[in-house]
Amino acid sequence: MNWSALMLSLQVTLVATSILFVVGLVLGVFLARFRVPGQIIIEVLIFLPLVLPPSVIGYFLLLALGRGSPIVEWFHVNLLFSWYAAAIASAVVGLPLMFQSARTAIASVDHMLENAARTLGSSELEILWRVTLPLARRGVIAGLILGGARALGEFGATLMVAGNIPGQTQTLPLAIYDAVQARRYEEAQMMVVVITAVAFIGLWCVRQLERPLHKRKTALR
Amino acid sequence: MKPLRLKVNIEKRLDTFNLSVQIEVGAEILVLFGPSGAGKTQTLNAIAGLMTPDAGEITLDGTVFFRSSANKGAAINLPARKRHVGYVFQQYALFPHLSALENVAYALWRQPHAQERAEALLERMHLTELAHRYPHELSGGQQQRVAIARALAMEPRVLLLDEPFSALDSEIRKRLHEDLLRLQAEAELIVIYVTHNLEDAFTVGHRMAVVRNGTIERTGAPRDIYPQTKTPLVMEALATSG
Repeated sequence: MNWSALMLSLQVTLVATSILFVVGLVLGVFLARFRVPGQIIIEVLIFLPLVLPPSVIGYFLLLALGRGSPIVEWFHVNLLFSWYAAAIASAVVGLPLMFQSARTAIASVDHMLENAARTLGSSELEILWRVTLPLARRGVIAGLILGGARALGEFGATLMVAGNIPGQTQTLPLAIYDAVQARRYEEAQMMVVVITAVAFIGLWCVRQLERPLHKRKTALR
Repeated sequence: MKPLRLKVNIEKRLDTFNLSVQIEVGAEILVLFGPSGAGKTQTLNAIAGLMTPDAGEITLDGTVFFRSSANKGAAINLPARKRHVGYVFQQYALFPHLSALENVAYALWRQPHAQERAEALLERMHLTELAHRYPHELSGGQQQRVAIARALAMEPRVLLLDEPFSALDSEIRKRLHEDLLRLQAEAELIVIYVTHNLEDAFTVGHRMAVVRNGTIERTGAPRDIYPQTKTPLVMEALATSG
């Protein structure tokens, strides 16, 4: 078992999931509740990573994070070939899943409930916090798990922007690739089992969240 | 407390007709009576601040809820949350993730003694035993009691009810009508009660306004407007209301 790769993968996934939570939720709320100019363009851009080859996502990220990009030129921050770049790449590929699930959940909250809250003296922000998000939370959590699971499995774009440096940027999927290349099949097998188990449990949780409440024995609220 | 008057004089172009409503309501129950799609709910929404009229004015004594720029002075559109108008919706619209008590306490958030005040309201609506149940664990009549208690929590001077008891059977309706008459008298509330049911209009309405195609056709006491109505239900309603 490659422990440093496992720890790094957890670290990268945790940070990527935090980014997903904030960015996915903000985008989900805005695009579910407001008419935004260029709405379709924004949505297509969010969904692009779902269909683009990982190498293309990696290429765009190199442009966004590399020399000549605003964050290097203006803020003098170089993230390339660090684990931060791996976290950003993972967040980008996880975002469509988080966004889709969060937006659908927020859009399906009954408008009448939000109107009721308005007549009861709530500001729009308060309604979001006390009515909309609590009622959409199952979809938001499901999206977070899906996006997080996808982030954990990120391979191609990570390879291009973070490299494959053992102990520094080598996450589990990269370590598996290395182990197989070097014919260390036993080591690869352990890591394959871990990733598959995590993905299985994650998807099982999502299915549970998607089941209607009344079909469960104990109602989760 | 000084009795208030709610004055509504609005115009709104809707998909199928033009809404043009002029009403004045004091501390009484005014029934807006008419077929569905006549503009009754839209009128309530305009008063509550959930719909913006194209033109006109809505005032509660000195407080201007809405005034279009065509009228004297600058345009005003007070947001719903600042109007303090209680609204009871047809489909109850209780927050499904909150218990009955939490629903009633919703508007009292960050106010002192919210819990005690919400409990007192539940008691007034005979709901003390059900305080910790969630909406899906309550019957329709119980849900509507919670909705009324929730609307009263912020101590509104105006209470709007949109077909509030239409999904309930007649025995429960009768009891809720009695509760409503009692609440109105106690707090000197301005109540507007929307219904398409003539029996409802006769039971709770001090006055009624007949709405058709977006305009008010007639206003007056129910029995003045429909003197010829002699169905057994209405006769019984008339008899019990004295």
